[in-house]
Amino acid sequence: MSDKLIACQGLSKAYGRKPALSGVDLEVGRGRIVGLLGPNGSGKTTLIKLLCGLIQPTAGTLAVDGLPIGPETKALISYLPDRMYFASWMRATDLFDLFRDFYRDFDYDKALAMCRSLGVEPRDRIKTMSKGTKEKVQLVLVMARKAQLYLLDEPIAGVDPAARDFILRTILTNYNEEGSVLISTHLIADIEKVLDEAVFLKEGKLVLHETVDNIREREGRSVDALFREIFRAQPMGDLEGGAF
Amino acid sequence: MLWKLLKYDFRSMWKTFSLVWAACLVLALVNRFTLPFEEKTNVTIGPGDGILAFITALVFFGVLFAMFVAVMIFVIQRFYKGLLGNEGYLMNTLPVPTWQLVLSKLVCAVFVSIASMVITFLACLLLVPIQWGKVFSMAFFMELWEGLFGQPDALLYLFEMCVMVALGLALLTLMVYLAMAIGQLFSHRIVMSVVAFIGLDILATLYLDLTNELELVEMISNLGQHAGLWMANAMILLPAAVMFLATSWLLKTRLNLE
Repeated sequence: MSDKLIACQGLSKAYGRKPALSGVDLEVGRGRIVGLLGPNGSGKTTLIKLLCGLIQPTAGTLAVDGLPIGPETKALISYLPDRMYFASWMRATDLFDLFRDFYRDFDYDKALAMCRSLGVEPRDRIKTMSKGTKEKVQLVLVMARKAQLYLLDEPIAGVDPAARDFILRTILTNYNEEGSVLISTHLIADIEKVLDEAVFLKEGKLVLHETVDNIREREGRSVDALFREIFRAQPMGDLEGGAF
Repeated sequence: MLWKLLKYDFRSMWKTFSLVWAACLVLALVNRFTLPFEEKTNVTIGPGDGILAFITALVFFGVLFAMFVAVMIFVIQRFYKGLLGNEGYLMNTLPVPTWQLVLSKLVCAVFVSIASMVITFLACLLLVPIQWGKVFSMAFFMELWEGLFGQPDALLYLFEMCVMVALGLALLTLMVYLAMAIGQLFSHRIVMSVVAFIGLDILATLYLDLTNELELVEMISNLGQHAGLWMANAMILLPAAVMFLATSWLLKTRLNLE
């Protein structure tokens, strides 16, 4: 077991000729909640997909718990993608069965208990569920594992503020505290209070990796305020609406 | 882990095909009573019976056709959607080696193809009111029966032919898989998959021509017919193994779920 859950050196990824990540050096330890922050197109999802092995790096090295990406690292990672990955014929319980079969750290009873608290009927077919309920099922699958590394790609994007609090509370009350959580988002104000560290990505480059306490102490302002400062100078098309 | 993957792939297959297979067998049985077979000629046929027979026969052959189209769609879709589409975000993050993901899809695809052939055969048996007693008393079948039991290795021949059919289906399926694995490397995935399939088909034709020219099967057949059949099986297995390894390698090292 390595102290560094994530270790990347010179990590780059290009889609055709367009670079998505350029020379990223990053290390993340254990027991941390890390915000992967940046505007749309800054490389957040690309970094998470590289960690999951869904895409391959163009250059550089990448390790999870000291291991190269493969079946061993996939067993350590609990991944919440930015899309639905269900087969339409399945019920939530089918997915729970699947996770129990493949992940030793999946807690079936906890998944059922989370369904009850989230108001999800696990015997319903996925295709009959609303978009919000499907998102809850996916969140249950991810958080019912006692994983070493949780990779949550935009878990609060596209939901109303009340639902954001609900999702964050679910994450915070269910994650394995011996592991780490990497949350990608551009909605910083909503998650700032739960973060230990912040990683800023800008046009595929890592521009800041600091503890939230240090940012507040050194900069004398919130992570959200610093984010707005760093990305304010960017052309309009590259920014979220709230930055101006 | 392979067994677990197979469990979910077979469950998905059963959800898709259980109704189609059942419909095929039920419609065959319905047609048995609506189609005017020879033995019914002395039975009075009403004016509406012809139309009914036509409709039920049409539905039956429609279901048969739909079943084989569904098999093709299933084979392509389970790989494309399951590994290269949104479901790939689940399957490719499972802690299993990539070759097991491919093998599970392959086994399921070959099984569903063979099962659909068997269902078609059973449906034909249900459709035609065969009097088995008469069939086996026919000279041809008597000779066939005696021939089968006269040759102690007849069952071995049958087994070798079954292996050949399964390997042929596996080769065709793997050509489709490899084409899709190549296609996903490009931004125009579907177009490039079709182009890759055409390229692989040309390569397969060249391979067949080469093996014909070398007359390997004929050479081995001189040692015995079983040896010839196993040589033919090995010659199908070789490109199938290459395509399996190439597909697994591409998905392991060049997976591109953008």
